[in-house]
Amino acid sequence: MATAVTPPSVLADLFPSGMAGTKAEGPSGAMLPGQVAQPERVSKVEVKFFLAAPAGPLQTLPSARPGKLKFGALNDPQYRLRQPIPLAVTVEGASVVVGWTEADEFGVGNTLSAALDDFGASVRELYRRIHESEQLGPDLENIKRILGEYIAPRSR
Amino acid sequence: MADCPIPTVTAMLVCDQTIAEQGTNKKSLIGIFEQVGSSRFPTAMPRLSVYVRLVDGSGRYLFKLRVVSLKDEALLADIEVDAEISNPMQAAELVFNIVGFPIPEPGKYEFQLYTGDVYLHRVTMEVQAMQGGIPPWQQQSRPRPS
Repeated sequence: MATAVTPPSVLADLFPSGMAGTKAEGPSGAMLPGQVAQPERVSKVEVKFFLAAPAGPLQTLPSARPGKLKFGALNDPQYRLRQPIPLAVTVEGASVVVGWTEADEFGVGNTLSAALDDFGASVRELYRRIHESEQLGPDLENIKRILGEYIAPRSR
Repeated sequence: MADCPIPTVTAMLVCDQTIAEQGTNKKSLIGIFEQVGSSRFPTAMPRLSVYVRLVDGSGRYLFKLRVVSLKDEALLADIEVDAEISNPMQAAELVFNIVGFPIPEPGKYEFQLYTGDVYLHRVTMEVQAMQGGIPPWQQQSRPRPS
C-alpha cells in the first residue's frame, strides 16, 4: 500500500524574551508569579528550507564542511568578539583542523564543530594568559595586538 | 549583517515542541530530548523544535540552521531565517518548529547555527535503532520474569 509522504516543513519565529509578573496574590497572601501582557508583537520571519539531496544515484549528500568560515562562538562570560575570526578548514587524516593564520592559532577535532570548540577554548586561554603577563616579547606583543582587534572584555 | 554585533547563544535545545504564550511571550519547551529511537530507516520525525536564546544581537541577521550528519559531516538540510533583533537590551529567542524532518539512518546529527558565514553554536541529537520495538534506553533495564 502506498503511503502519502508529507514534505518536511518548518515554521520559524523570532521572539522577544518572555515576561513574568509578581502582582497576583495567593490565598496565603504570598506573591505569586502572574502573567503580564506585553505589547510587543511576535515577529514572523521569512524561512527558506533546503533539503539536501544526492546529486545522482551513486553520489552522496553534499558536505557540510566549508573550506573557510568565520568563528563567532567565543562563549565567554567575560569576553566578547568585536568581529568574527576568519578560519581555514582543512582535514588531516581523521581530524578536522581549523586555523587562524594571522594569530597562528588552531583547533582540532573529529568533526568541524569539535574543532571549533577546541579552537574557542585555545583562543580564550591565550587571551587570558597573554593579558596576565606583564613582560611580553615582540612576537607575543604582536599576538596581543591581533587578539585585541577581535576580542574585547564585556562591559559590566 | 556586516555591521551588526555578533550575537552570543546562551541556550540551544532540541525538543518536541516550543510553545509561545500569547501576551507574555513566555516559552514552554515540551519534551526536551537528545536521543531518538526508531525501528526503521529512513524515517521522519513527526515534529521537532530547535530553541535558541541569543543575547548581544542588534539589527538584521540571516540565520542559518544547518542539519548535519556527523558520520561523514554530510549536509541534510539548510534552513534560512531572515530576522531582525530590534531590542539589543533584551534576549531574543529563535524557534524552529519542523514537521516531518527526514532521518536517513541511525547516528549522530547536529543542528549548527550560523549567521551568514559566522558559526555561532550547535546542539547534537543521537538517533538509535530500536530492536523489537524496544527503545535502546529500555533494553538493559527490563525486569526479568520470575
